[in-house]
Amino acid sequence: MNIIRTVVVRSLLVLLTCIASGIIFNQFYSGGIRASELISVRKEISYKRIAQDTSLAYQRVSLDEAYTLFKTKAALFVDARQEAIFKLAHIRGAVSCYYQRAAQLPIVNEWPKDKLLVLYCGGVKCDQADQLAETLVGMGFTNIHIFPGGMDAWRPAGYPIDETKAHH
Amino acid sequence: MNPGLKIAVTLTARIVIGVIFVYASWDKIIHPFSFSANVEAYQILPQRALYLTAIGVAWLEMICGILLVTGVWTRTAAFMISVMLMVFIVGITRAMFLDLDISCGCFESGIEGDRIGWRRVFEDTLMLIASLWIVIFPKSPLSLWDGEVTDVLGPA
Repeated sequence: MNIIRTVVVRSLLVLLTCIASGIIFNQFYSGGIRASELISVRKEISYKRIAQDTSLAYQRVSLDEAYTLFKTKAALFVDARQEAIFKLAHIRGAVSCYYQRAAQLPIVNEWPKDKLLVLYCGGVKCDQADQLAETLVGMGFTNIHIFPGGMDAWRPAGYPIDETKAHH
Repeated sequence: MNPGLKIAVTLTARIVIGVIFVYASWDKIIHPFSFSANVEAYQILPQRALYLTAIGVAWLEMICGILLVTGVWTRTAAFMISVMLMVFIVGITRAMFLDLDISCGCFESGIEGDRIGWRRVFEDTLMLIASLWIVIFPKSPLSLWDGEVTDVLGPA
């Protein structure tokens, strides 16, 4: 029993030490989470925080923002899913750029590096758009946005899509 | 079991797991926002708990890893690492059954990291077995502080 009690008490001590060290470190570290922000998190806030993370050079857009960019033709929409899935249905006017092949696609090299790109995939459950963003940032693109809602958000909203109807 | 062999297994497990945990914690500590996105992707915790969890897990990995390598509070460190590994295994398995195509957040923070998969579950299970071994037989040389050397199964 003694051993168990010792281990439990020490575990709690270690846990408290870790949380305290973490909070203090983050308070002073330039890329840290400040104590005032620790539990004041609303939905989507963390995505914005990722955008502020200096190691990631892109930001996320909501469905409304994505549609505004679509309507005004301000951005090129890029579908990060596999080409076969892209062919079934995609946001109207989007181009296919499967994230694993992005670096080899000739079309990617034709885009100006400061072109406004909106990357998307299936929805919040996939992160192919994030992967593609990493690749494109690595290639020098500077104006990248991710639309995390993807097809799952776009389709129910009734916004334009290009779809392949099954032939019989 | 040969006591010498037992001690050798403990020492090896201590160093290997300790180094892995310290290594794995580093990227999470210096990229707390990215790591909180990894935690978020598992869709287990409420939004308000993400930052604190991300910071807590990163530092727990670091400090428990250091305790294991240096041989201070060895049994406690191995116990906490075992608990963490169990949580990781359950989290990854759950995510796979939910068909979440996400990054593991195991060794590097951020969505560009390694994918989750059965290989991760397998690795974590191996480490869990090794850390449970240390919990049961914490005695080994090269320990800075040997206050926890008494075996669960009796004095060493």
